Amino acid sequence: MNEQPNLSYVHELSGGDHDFEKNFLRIVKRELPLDAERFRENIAAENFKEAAANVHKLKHKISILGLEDSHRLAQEYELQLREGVNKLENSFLEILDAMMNYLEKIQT
Amino acid sequence: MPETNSDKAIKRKLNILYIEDDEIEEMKLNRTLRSLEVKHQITVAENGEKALEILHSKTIQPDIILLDLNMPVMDGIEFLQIMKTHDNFKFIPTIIFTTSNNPKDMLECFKLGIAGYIIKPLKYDEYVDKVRTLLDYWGLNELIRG
Repeated sequence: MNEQPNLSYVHELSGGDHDFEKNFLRIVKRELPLDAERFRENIAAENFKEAAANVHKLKHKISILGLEDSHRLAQEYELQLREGVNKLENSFLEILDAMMNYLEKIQT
Repeated sequence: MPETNSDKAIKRKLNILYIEDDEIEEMKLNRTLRSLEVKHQITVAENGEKALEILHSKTIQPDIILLDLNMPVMDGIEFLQIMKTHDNFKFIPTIIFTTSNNPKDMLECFKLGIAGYIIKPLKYDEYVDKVRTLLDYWGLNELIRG
């Protein structure tokens, strides 16, 4: 992974409204581990169609943390999973870990 | 370019039903409308089933519907299939608003009858441009009311 999560998208969206940013990031922080867990469960059970839906939802959060290359990877992974192919799992998990580590350090 | 008074005069305030399950996406759209300083009324339904309940209850009469495709319970395509069989709803312009560029979904939506298919861009400034253009366009349209 060559890029790092960042808050430039969130800053653009908030237009400098710190309360909005906090509230927004709190939701991202709360939902991300839950979405990631659902994804892991579906992959473990080889429910690739369901896992594709999980990746789809996670893509929103990937874009919010400014990860453009990772978003492209997620897009490709979602399409693969829809076809029952699971080749990008490790790269995708790496993205999720990077996002969760980053959010843990952010005060909301 | 600054907006003139005559531009403002011809744009309508829209009642929009936004069908989207993701809270973050909902916040994003609301925030964007605020930053664009447009006064459209947004009602959110978290899936197709809830949207049908809102339409049946007549709590709002949407001028347009913005519809996400990937949702649990009842997804966008299932919602479209049902609304298009209903005399009181089938004329409401429905614009797909999604991150999915799946050609199969796109074809299915156009077959069922949609008023547009907008892919949410990755970059925020492009997202704002698309939302502004979409709402400006629909604000200029004559719409069936009541």
